[in-house]
Amino acid sequence: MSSVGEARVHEAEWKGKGVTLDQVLDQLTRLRLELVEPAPHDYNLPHARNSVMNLVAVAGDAELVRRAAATGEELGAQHPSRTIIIHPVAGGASNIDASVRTHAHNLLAGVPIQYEEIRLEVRGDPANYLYSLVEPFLLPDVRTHLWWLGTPLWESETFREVLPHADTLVVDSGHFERPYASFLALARAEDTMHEPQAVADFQWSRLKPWREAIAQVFAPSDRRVFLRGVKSIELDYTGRDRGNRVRAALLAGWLIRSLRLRLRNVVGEGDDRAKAIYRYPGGGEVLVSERSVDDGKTGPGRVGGVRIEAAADGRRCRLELARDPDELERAVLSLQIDGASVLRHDVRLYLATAPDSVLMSDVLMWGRRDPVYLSSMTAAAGFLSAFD
Amino acid sequence: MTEVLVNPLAEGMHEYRATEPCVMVIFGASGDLASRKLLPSIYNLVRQSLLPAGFTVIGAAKDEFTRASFRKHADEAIRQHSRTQPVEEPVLKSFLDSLDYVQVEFESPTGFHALKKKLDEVDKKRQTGGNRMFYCATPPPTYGLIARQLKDNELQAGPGWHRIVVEKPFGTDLRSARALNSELAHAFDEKSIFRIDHYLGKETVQNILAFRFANLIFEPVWNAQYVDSVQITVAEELGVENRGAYYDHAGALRDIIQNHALQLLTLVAMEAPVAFEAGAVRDEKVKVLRAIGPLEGEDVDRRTVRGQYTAGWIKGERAPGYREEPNVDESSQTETYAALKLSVDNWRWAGVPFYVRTGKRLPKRATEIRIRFKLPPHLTFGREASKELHPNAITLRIQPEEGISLRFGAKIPTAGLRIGSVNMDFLYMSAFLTEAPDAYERLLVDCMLGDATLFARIDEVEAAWTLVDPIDRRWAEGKPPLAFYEAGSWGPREADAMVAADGHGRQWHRP
Repeated sequence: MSSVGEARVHEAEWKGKGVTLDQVLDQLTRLRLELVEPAPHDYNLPHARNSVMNLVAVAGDAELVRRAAATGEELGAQHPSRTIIIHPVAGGASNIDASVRTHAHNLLAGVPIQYEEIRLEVRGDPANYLYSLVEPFLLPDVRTHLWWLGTPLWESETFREVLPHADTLVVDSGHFERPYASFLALARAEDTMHEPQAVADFQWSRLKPWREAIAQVFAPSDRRVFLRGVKSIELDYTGRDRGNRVRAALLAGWLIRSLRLRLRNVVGEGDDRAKAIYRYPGGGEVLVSERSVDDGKTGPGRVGGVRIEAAADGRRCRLELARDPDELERAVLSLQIDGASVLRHDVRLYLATAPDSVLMSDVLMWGRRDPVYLSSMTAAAGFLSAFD
Repeated sequence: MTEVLVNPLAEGMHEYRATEPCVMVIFGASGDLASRKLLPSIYNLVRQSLLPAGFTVIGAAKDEFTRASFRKHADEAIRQHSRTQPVEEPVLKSFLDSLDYVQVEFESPTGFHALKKKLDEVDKKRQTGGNRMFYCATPPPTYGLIARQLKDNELQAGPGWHRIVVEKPFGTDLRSARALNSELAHAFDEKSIFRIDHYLGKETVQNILAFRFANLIFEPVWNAQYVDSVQITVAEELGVENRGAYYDHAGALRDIIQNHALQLLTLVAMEAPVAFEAGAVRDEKVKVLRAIGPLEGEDVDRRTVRGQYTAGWIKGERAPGYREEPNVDESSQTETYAALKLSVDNWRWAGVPFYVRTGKRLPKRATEIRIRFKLPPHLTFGREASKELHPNAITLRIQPEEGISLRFGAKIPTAGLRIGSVNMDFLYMSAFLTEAPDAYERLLVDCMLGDATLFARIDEVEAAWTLVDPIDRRWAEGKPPLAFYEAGSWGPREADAMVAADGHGRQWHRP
């Protein structure tokens, strides 16, 4: 833990190959006790029951295991918690290799924090029964977040079996393999979940600065009337394949659901463009389109910009929010009303390049179902599937 | 009637509260408060994207700054005092680019004319719609003067909203508080006057209400039937620093008890408001202040202690006595410590003492509220087995190490039956996956939104002065005599004796 002086850190670790889960549990209990034994009446020692969450990470390869461990550790620097990392390995004879690490430190103010990490590399049949592997390690009375790194095995029994036991399914729809199909699968998976279960998506967080900046433009009450007269919504995405439309589609989905638009018909689709007509409940058509752009710098699949045109009460409005191709975290927002420039300022896309731990904190901050995300995702899936 | 359209795009944005574009004018922009608190807080709001596009800050003070030199001043202040470090250069640059400055002598209309011109320019250029927040980061005697100049020069007129923010102290006694309010009310209506006591912006202070009114299990025992006593401690490790001249006229009673300490008391003792909104919350707080039994005459001698620190040692370093501090009268009678035993005379709290204390040069900085409960009516396990059992207690720690502790009895793991006391702790900073905003950040946004829930209303201020004034007058007569305590101790012995004299094993809780 780089931010904490060694004098305030206690650590203990155990590793075993070909072990049983009982052995792992025994070692976890032993290590937890070992941390508090040196001075059992010292107030400053960690209070393991202060844990705030169980983070269950399913990581399909060594690199993802490393990412999960780093994220758990970074969260654990401030938040007492337990991270259970499962690395399922397909095929082979049944076997579990495990490690347990307990880490405790006092923050500068003396606040004790304890973090525990359990890693299980699982082969053979046990890999198909993730819930049975995870359940014995779950701390009671705190939420359990299932973080499926990479692309969840949507159709597998393993995924279907473990999902009902998680309070939150954490994914990153911005980095799915086969993003188009996976995004629709995520929407279907969400359909099977019930309150208080929630889906939390890193990509939704990355879009937060975009959403905030656009929403803020309409904070002054005299501009809100334009939201009843939107004529077109156009989004740019980088790359050409239709899979690259997914991240921008989530932003489009948010606008579609916020304006209560309904799909009327598809206008056209090509490799570089998708267009559909939507309609307000009371009439009034809106052209929603995604356009491929190639800035040659930011890589495929990123949101490049959004333009909204509207007219109401005899006035016209044009909003543009465009990412700076040279700076991933910067965009320029401009607003014209009746052709006159009303606003022009920089927007910081502050989560665009954030590490997993920051995004995890952001998506778990509220720890509950986000109906706006869910309806945006549904609307985005509707937009994408309209072109199937 | 005009239909008010909602902004559907703002739905579900939990951290974001849609404020309209506005201009914030900081009077006293070159001073300590602006440098240490306001400018860094605004920078952090910008960093979190919590301010609207077009938001603009104009510094206004006597100093001869140019726009460039004021930006340089702000740059240095933010780098030094921002709670988030290191500063994010693009954010800081963007914020500094929006800063402007106007030289203003508060006594003269000339600077206010220039300010008006500048505000009109900003409205046109940055679409701020005439919305203005005037923040008086200036000495209290200037508040009335600034308000008058704003009115005389029509800076608080025209389209948009216009609000004035003033910092505590709100007067030095009831009379001056009323005079100040009269001056402010001449230029602004009450709902546009925001009296800021930054204590109320602290997350943990607001959490007192959440703890009490969002949980069913505590409220049923939160009354005289179960509570033995309540202690409120606002302890400061520092001395008067460079505030000797001010402090020697103010003292602990006016500086802390009249505002911070009584605010905490109201939150602990108030009834549940019907909603967390300005009118309902402040109505309940005022009821508590009016229910506090007034201390007058000899009651003051018995139920208050005033103290002053002498030289001592804190954290291994020598601390000078109060009378040795710069700009302090060498025979000063000003109290640096105040302890009061108050009563809240209503059905809920009849007979429960509220011990309130504050002091400078105490061993550490700590603010806490401790609710001490009564012992069970019958000791089932016998007196011997319960020797190590203390009454249940809930401690609400406001700062530092913000959190809540619950003390309860548990069986000590030995062969026999012995009951001891254990603590269960909730640590605010580690329980949530989000950073807590600074109090000023929260309050600035509240002011832009026009939400006055966490600001003091005039009747609260007047009720607090009504309580404090008779104590202050008695103390000015030298009654009770000034007690002395060593810097680094927890206050005068007289304060310990006042609590102990009430029996029931009561004593000050060491934070």
